[in-house]
Amino acid sequence: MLFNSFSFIILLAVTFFLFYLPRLKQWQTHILIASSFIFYAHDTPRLLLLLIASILFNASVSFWIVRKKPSRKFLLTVLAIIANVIVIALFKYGPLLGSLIPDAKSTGIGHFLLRLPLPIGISFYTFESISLIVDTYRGGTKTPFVHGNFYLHLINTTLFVAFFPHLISGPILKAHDFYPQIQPKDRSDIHWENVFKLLVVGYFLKMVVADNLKDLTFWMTYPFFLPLWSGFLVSCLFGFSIQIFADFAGYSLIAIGIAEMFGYRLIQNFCFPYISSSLAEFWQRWHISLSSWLREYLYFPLGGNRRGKFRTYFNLFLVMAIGGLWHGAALSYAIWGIYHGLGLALERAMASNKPSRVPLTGFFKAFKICSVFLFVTLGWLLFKMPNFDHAIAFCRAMFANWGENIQFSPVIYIMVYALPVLIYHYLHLFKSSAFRAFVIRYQHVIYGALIVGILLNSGSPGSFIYFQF
Amino acid sequence: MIKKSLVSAFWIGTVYLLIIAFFGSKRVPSLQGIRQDNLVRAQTVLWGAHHPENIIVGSSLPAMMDTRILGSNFHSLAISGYSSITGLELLERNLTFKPKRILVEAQFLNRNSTKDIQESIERPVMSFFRKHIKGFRDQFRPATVIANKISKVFGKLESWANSGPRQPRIPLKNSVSPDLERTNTLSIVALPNPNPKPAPKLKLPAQISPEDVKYPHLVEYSMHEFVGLIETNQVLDNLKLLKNLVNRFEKKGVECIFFETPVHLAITNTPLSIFQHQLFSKAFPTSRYRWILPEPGVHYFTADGIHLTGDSIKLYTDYFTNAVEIGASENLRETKNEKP
Repeated sequence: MLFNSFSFIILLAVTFFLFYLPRLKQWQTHILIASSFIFYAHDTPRLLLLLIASILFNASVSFWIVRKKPSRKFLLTVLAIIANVIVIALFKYGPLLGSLIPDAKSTGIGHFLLRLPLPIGISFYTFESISLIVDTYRGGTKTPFVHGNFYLHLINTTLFVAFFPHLISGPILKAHDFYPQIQPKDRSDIHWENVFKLLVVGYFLKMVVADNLKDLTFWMTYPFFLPLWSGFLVSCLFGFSIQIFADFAGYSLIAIGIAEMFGYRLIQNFCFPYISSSLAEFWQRWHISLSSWLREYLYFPLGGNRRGKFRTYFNLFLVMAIGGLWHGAALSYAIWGIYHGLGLALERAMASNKPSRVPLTGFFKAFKICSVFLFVTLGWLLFKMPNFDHAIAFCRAMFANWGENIQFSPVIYIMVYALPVLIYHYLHLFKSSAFRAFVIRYQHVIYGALIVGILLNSGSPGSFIYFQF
Repeated sequence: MIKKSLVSAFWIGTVYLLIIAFFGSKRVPSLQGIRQDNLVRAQTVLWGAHHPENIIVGSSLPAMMDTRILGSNFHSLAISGYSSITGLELLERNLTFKPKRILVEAQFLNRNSTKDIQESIERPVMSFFRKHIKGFRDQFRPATVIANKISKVFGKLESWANSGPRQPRIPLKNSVSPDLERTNTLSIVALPNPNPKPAPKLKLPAQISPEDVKYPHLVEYSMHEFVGLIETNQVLDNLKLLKNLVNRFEKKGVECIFFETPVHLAITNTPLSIFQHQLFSKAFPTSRYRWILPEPGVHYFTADGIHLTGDSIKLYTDYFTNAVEIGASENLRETKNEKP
């Protein structure tokens, strides 16, 4: 169910109405859970069983961990994490493994693996379940968010994992952040202006920027790009960089805005990532919930940067490679993760060997921002083209096709759709500028224009890019 | 702030819609992609003020025809990625006037009818606004208007940069699709198969050369749709659907004319093409229906074996419009001669 579909609007309206009915106040959590299950089951009803099974398992384990002796706690925690990893590995990488088995269709196991569906949101809710298990273990007996009553803990866990605004594409929540918020909510507590801003910007980024850029970056599909002009191909790559940001950030803003309507605050997932002047900064601004999860549950337990230089580089490399694999069962995603891991390691090595004496202002800062953007944009090519050969062919065409027929029109379209995102980042970068002050003063006109854009200039509806992960 | 924003949205929207209503260009601008192009074609014929005599339905192949040469008497509802069936269904459900003729592309019976464009046209609330207020239509999206204004500045630069030596006159070659009555000597692999195998790895035929095709490496991609196992049941169901649609239009007094666009011989000789030829010749025989086939002995240049490109577009469009109009005047002459 897409956030911009008619059926979702109906579901949201009905849920909102029931949620704030005074006589149903004690059932608020249950109402959200029911809506979340309807939301999830709308497209793939049978995979709802997997979600429910995952919730039951993790709720039971976390409930037991709090009550077990310390010697048993660790074992239980490790087994639970392994079980979650097996589930995600099976469904995400099972078809890939199956395709590697010779004559897979005629073998029982091969046939089974090839036919495994990819449950929507599995990457997100499995990571949240692991977060629950680990937070429960770390908290010991003083884990306030694990309720003493199993049924209530189960209800809270179901909401934590399945809460529909974030269920399918994040932000990835952490148990210690979300559970304390599970309380009765009142409509008077809704900060409507905040909700309005989040939803308008979110829907604009998704429906106007991302959905329209999708029609233009379509030409990056093999073999259509082979005869196209290099200038257009370069602008397509740039456009895809903008598209993936607008798509994902737009979705996250909508999710955060909708969650706020029900009194829940979700973690900010994007913070103007394309103004980053280093890769490390980029990963503090892009998909913040995932990078924060990886840092807290993987990087720090591996030792972080406290075990010497080379161990730090190794940790960075490994965490990013796993982060890449999280996105999908294809070589290109692993390479993408390794690409960023290498970049981070190299950046850290250069910073520690020769600390920069050049102040990060003016031209130098602009140069660094552009370099990081270029590095990241080249990496997105592997997202657009999971087939590595096609990505190589695209790079070749980008450099070799300057003599082909020039097409300015699609390039101009890409620039027109990219402009709002560039202005969005500019306003954050230059906080004290007169332009920003002007925009803030007339922000109601800006939001009005965004609404008009949504009504008159929405692209063809398309699922969120991160749905496939 | 929310109220002020909504009021601003109202005024901005109203001003924009008024500007489009009074100053919006009738000429279709340069569009951003295939989907917008498809929607604009559909919206123009269904909701536009002008009622053309001839409407073309089909896929991206006839969509390449030059609209300036077609003129105001023609409208192309050739929808890229779809087939004649989708176009006919759209017209049947939504057209408010009766054209004289519908030109039906006789290719791609393997493509099922899809409701994608139809759902976009018939969306409950937005279709009402799009039908009655021009500014809501896809042709007048704000980004399209802005991009086209900017493009005008670069238009001359683009023409200058792309002007090179004109495409050389290519000697005549036999690359025209066969006529309908030719006997088929090739066997067709046509098995009803619910799980069709992927198309086998192709070897490009020796006759694919840069003299015929601008991008020879794209021909392999074009051929994928035409080789391999044919979903016979699907093709036959689509033919039945097409026949019913054509019959219904004929009952309303609309003449249905069939046509084929020129494609490379390598495509024409594929199993699917030959199978379709046989089906069309039986279902819509030349004794009862008018057919416009590619002009014999004329060489056409394609980009990828199926889509016309360069001067061939103008050449074919010119031929096509003359064929329709000459046929129409012959019909009129015959009708006049038949009168007592």
